[in-house]
Amino acid sequence: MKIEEVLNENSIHLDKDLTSKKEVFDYLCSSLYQNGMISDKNAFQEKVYDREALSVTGLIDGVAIPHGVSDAVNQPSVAFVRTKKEIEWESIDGKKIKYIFLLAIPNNTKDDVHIKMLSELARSLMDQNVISKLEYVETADELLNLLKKGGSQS
Amino acid sequence: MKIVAVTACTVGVAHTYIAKDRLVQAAEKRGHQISVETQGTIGCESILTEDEIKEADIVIFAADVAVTNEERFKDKPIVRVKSEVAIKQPEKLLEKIEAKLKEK
Repeated sequence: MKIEEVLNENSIHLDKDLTSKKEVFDYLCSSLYQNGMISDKNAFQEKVYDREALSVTGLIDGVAIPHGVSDAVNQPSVAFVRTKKEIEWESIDGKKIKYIFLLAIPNNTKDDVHIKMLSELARSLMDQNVISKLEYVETADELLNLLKKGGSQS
Repeated sequence: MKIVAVTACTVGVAHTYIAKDRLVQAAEKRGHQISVETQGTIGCESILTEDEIKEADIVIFAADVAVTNEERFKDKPIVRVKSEVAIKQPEKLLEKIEAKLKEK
């Protein structure tokens, strides 16, 4: 999986001092905006909150995959942050969250190839082979390599 | 037990496919046959065949939106749950279904 086509190394942030869901959303939406993945930070962020209200985006063992569908999204993309401390966040296993992958999805997109990559990424984040290593990646490159391998296993 | 299922979450990018994986894992663990159709934003994949539907003992809709072409299942018993249920506790869901089918 050519994960770098949806996850830019500039959208990968490690060990940030963010302590709430709101701070994470703010931070990651800014990141996507700065990297040109979205054209309107506030409009997109609102959609992220809309989706958040529908059902849990926290998965297992500290991983969360919030996402937003919006006209303000230029291309299917992801931003990632590993926080310094665990954050309160509803999750399917009840655990707190430390690894957040924010997915940005364009409205009415025909870009199936990249949407599929987002789906494959989400699926690989349920795999212990991937999850267990998220704490230890030290660079953006290492994260990309981990996810590349994870994708091919699913 | 022969199971067919359709997963369809609201956005149709992540939970739809995770729900499928969780259902397949749980079903195989419990010794059941399962086929799962996903209805996502890119469309329907692994579309259930007429035969698969005919032979199924139970149909599961793990969906937060309407299932496309629901008429295919009109004569079958359908269990409807949110996609979150299939992701959170797929084994419990199957346990419940097994118990209900035994009662019949």
